[in-house]
Amino acid sequence: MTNEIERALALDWWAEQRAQVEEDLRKRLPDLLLQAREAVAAMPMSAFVRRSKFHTEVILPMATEWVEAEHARLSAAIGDTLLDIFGANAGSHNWSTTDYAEVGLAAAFSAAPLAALPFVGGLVVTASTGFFATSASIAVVPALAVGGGLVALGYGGQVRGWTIERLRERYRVKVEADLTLLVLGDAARPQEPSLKGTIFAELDGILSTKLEEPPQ
Amino acid sequence: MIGPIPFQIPTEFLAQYGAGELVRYGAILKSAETGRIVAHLQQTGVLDQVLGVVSNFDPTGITGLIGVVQNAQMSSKLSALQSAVGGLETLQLASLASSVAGIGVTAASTALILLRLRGIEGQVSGLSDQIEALSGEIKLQSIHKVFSDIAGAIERIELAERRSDADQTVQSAEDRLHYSFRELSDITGRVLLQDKVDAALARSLLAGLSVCSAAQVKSLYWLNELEAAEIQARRHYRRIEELSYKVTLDQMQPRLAHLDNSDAVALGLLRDVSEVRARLAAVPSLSGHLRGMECHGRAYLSQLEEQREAPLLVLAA
Repeated sequence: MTNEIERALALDWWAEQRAQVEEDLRKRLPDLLLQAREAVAAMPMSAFVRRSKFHTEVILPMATEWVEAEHARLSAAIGDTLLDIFGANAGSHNWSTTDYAEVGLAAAFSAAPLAALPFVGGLVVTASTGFFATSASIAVVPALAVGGGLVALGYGGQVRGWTIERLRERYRVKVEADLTLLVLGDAARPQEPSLKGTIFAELDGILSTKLEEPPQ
Repeated sequence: MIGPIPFQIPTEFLAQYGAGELVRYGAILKSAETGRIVAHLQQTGVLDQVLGVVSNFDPTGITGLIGVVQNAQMSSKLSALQSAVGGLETLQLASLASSVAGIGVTAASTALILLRLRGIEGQVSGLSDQIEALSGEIKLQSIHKVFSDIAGAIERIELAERRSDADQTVQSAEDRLHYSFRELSDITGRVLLQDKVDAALARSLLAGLSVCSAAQVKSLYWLNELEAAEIQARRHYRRIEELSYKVTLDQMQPRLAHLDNSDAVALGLLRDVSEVRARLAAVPSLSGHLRGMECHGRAYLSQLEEQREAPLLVLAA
């Protein structure tokens, strides 16, 4: 346990970093959503028949790349402030800048936690609420609708085009909602993994390490 | 050095501060290089007087000195302060003094503490409709009762020196402040966890906590119970620290989403929590330092209140 001033400074840092992460991700998420929107807009009609394949081959790699890049960027930014804030105080306690770099940062910002995210962890995730699982499960519906029902009923190409646009729109909305959830999480369900939650957990880990220091 | 407690006029420290060698954290000056505590800042009777006489001074500190500086009387007083400690820093210190945190541990006179408390209570009264709308067991009456208890205790401290049983009077007031702080921190925690947080009420309660803590620590200093003051201040800090975990931006934004300017309000609330945290965090350190120097708590208070030249004194760590 450090003294109260050290604790208060650490809490200031922690609160500031959480606020910064929140703000950064909210600002930058629209870039990812725009990429996804463009991909869905360019989605060929054939992809509606096997939408899970499209999802796996186009949307997931895009999301993975974005999340990994954001994680690396935010980790580096946090690392810089950590050294600024705690490194300057090295003379007043037994944590040196090197200690923070070796113990705090290395432990906190490994890429390992990202593997726990439903999409970044690859295609082995089986959670029914995950991005991959929910998106794949609805893939069958449009295939039936487009390939079977409406066409079999004898409606013409115009109607089929209109239907596809509706399905495309529905898919886009679903993809955007899922991406938003994966990046920012759900305040009502904080246990669901997200990029923000992952970074917050890392920040919590650093704060705990600091607060558990022996008193000077 | 001034009087029995080795206070100093902060000229030298302000020069170092200006050169960037020192940084201020709440009421503490720290070495920019090592982070070591170099000195404790304390406002004196002069600054108390300036803040106390201004008619539109906001005792809660919620609005800071905006508007106050436009007041002619305050402007002339601030000019005097500027010449005493120099430049923009004075304004920053005056802002801090009028904030929810205040400068230093106990320097504000009992009268000013009471003035602040009444201002806060007045603001809470103005929020009666919002409080009645709160869910659960938070009731206007219970909030008023806590503020009334704190005010009663501070009034007792103010009159103590004129009573033959001064020590017992302050002891009893300190006891009451102890329970009031607990009650108020519980209420504050519950208000902050509401689905729809009333920001004005939350900020008033935080200001109330700061004032209550200052009054209790002051009473313990008055009784020369510096070790108890250190322990109690540590508890106060821990309580605010617990609250801090619930008041991050990401947690507050959904609870303030009913407001048009929710982001700005959330940031303001975070800033208040941080200021109160910084103020409370400094008290155990100062109390321990005074004990180490074998200073008498009451002499410490008297010297600050009786100071009529310098608005700010510094106690080297």
